[in-house]
Amino acid sequence: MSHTPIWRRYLRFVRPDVRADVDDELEFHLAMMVDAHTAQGVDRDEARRRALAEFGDITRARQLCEAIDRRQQRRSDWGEMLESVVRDARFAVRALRRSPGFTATIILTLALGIGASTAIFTIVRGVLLRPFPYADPDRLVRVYERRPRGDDRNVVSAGNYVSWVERARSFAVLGAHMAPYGISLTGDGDPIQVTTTDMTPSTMRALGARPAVGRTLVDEDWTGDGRVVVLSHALWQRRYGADPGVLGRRIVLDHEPYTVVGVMPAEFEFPAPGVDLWRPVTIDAMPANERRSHNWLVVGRLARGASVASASAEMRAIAGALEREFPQFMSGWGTAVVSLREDVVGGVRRLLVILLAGATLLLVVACANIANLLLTRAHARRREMALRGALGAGVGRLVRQLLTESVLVAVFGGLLGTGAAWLMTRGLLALAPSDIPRLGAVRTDVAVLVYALATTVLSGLAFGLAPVARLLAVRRERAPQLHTILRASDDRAGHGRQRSTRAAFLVAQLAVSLVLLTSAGLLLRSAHRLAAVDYGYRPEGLVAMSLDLPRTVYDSIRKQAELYDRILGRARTLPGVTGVAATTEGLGQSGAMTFSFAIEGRPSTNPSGREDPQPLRAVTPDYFQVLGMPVKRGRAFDARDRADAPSVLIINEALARLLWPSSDPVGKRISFEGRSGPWLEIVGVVGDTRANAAYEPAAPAVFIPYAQKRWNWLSWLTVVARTDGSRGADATVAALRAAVWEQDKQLPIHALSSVPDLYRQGNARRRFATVLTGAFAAAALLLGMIGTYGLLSYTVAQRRREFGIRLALGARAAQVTRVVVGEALGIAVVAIALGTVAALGLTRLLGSLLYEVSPADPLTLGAVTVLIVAVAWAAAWVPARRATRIDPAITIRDA
Amino acid sequence: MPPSPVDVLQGTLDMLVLKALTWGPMHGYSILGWLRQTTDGELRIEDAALYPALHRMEARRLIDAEWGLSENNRKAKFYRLTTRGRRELRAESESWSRYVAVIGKVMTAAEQPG
Repeated sequence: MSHTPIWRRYLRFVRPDVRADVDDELEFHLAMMVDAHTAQGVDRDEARRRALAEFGDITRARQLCEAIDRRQQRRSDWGEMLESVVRDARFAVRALRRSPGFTATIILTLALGIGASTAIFTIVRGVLLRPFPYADPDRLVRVYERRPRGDDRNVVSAGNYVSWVERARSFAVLGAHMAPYGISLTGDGDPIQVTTTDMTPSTMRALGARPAVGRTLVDEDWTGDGRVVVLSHALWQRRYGADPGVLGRRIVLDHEPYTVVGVMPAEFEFPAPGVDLWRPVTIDAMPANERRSHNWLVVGRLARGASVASASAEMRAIAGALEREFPQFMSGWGTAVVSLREDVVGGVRRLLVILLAGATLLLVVACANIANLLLTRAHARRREMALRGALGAGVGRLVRQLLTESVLVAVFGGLLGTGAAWLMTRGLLALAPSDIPRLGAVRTDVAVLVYALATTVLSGLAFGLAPVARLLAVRRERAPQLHTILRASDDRAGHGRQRSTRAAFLVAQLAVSLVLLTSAGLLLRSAHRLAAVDYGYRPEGLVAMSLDLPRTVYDSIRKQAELYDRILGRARTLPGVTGVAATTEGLGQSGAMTFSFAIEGRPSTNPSGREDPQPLRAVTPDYFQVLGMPVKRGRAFDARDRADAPSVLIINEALARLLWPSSDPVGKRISFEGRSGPWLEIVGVVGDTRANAAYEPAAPAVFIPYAQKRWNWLSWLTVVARTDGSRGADATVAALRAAVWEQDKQLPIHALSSVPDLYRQGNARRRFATVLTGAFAAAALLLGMIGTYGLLSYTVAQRRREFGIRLALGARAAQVTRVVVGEALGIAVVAIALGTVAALGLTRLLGSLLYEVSPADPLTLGAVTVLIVAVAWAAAWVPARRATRIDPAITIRDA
Repeated sequence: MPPSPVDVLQGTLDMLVLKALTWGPMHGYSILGWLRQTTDGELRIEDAALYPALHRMEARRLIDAEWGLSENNRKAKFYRLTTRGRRELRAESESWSRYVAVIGKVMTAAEQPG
């Protein structure tokens, strides 16, 4: 009756085989019935037939029994597993609580590693990985113009944008917008400065933007009066208390009335965080043949079937056609299509990836350290393990116990680390340079928690397997001699292998620490070099304030000049101020207005007949003196250079080198208009200055006297005051603000800060990287020190007898010390060799974060090497001293 | 001709099996034998119905099972009362007695409804 295959029967030894059991039980019953019949003289076949008939529905009985048993078996399997997990966990908690210091060290080490790497990942997730808050964001691209030489992300001329819209088939929508800039918001409480982005309504369509309240901009907005505005969520909250009734409200921007038609959701930050409102503009109303001035940013949504590559190809063809049609403007110009994501975050990817790599290396160091700590303990517990083994605990049981302890430690470390990550993320956001995009999108979300969980599990496995491997190795080698472990007080067997495993972990730990230290060292050296950069003027003690005049009120150059004269005059009288000057472009910002020009008597190599555009500043006469810029040739501006005097200009050395490499530019004449003048005479050459990006080469610059400025739209101004340091920068800033508002209470003040602060902002990314890498390196070094100390203490404990005998035989303490310290230094040397090779390969990734420091900088590598040796030596010193104090008599007797 | 046997009432089979097992561990065949003998064959219990009942009670931990050798040296599954089963039997038989008494009172009532 039983059809049970052989293997199933064996399986029964492990766990009950439900089907076979039921079959056997019923078969026994039938057999008994058959016996009863045969006892009455019925023959066997007949007896069996009768028994089956009397029994009833045997198939159904069998099915019911099997179903009941199966359900029962499943339930008890689960129960048993749960029970044993709980038992293991309880046991593990007891074991861990027996050595609280050890457990705390491991958990804190792990929390540090997981916390740091999760915190950095939180930033990476928010900035690089989170989808943009636009419809189908991967279809969005930026389209730029490419300058004949250099910059391949140049802003676009209105004429070209119109041509692109007409010709390009790769885009479902193209939109154009201006870079954000400041305007005044008045007539509605205190006047405040807000940031606007003026855009063609098609920009909103390209983005697929959806409003939180009301509507976004639509194409019809311009056919009305164009005086509508969409507010940012932040401005709506701040200024209007999140009142939905704000729709239809009239607000005044730069003295012009606008109607609020909508509010965008909080995550809509286009084109950058901090934009307060969006206004419609149209480009059709402008002269479409305007191709000289480039000032539009273009965003596009790829048409169905188009890709960045296919769009690039089409735009190349269009650029070629435009070049032929408008050679005077377009010759040499090209286009560039990049995905919006790449455009926004491409610049910070390297920084963030480097930081993530740094945090991951720290986690690796932490895991290596924990693995070593666990190995130490595994050794200390070998007797416990041997005893439990001898009492019948199987290998699986012991492995499970060790793993449970590791998992438990990992879970606690992971929980603590996730909490720490949350705090560290807050800290990072406070510390992060404000020019990192999308920091507003950073939050602890499911992806971050998954990352924390994954790192916890991987770390737990990484350090948890070490003691398990050790246990298995020991059992394999010496299973028959378990009793010897119980008896011997000092176990020598397996010691060498154990020590070499631990030394390998320590080498890895120190080598990775060396990579981190080298990176931090290189960044520090860069910071040092940057601090020593000659900016071409003296930033210390300078305070800068940027103003923009509403052109509706200050509509003429004369009105602008009068106001500035009054402000500058008042500023000169402020206490602690030794000089005041003004310039049309700020100091700490790149992207000044550029102008192209013709040189008298020299045809340009450019087909346009004009030289490449260069940044131009209109400055007051004492500008160079107040900033401390040396005049290298000719003269500075002075009182002679009035509005009605002959037009003059001053250039810097960079431009002189570019255009007059072998002759004196002073006395040469140029024109901003055309080949027939009017001409401006170069009267002087000043030294180069560097913009906020101090690591970039000095840019060419052109200066004209403010009094001779002839463009009334160039209405913004930065006032620069030199202070003698008798009053703090903040006091001077406040006094300057008051001086401006004395003249006009409605004037918006853009930026106001001390100039060294501006430089600090300019170098913020590098400083961010330096501070974090430094912190990672310091933590890794501390762990390396703990690890070295731990290994050497272990070595000394292991070799007590040997040292005791040596001392007894007359070895001097110094000789014993040398043995111990020698072991530490041996490990350090191997780690330095491996770490240096790795560092030489990896620090190249720092790339542009380094400034005038080679990734293979010998000074940095040398200093780091010395540091590692010093740390190894210091960490070995305490155990070494302990070794010399071994009392030979006691040691040898105990053995 | 003897009266035809009565069917075992729904739910009482468990109680009878528990009662049978108070005599000691038994396999299914002997449980059935004891019940038939005790009731003089007046109670109809299907062999096929016994086993699912046994397995259900085992799952409820009213009884324990163990493989052993029968009197004629066959491998058989023996059931034994657990503490829980003993408690269950006590409760069941008590409520059964009360039930029988109450029903009996009604069925043997001498007074007319008034």
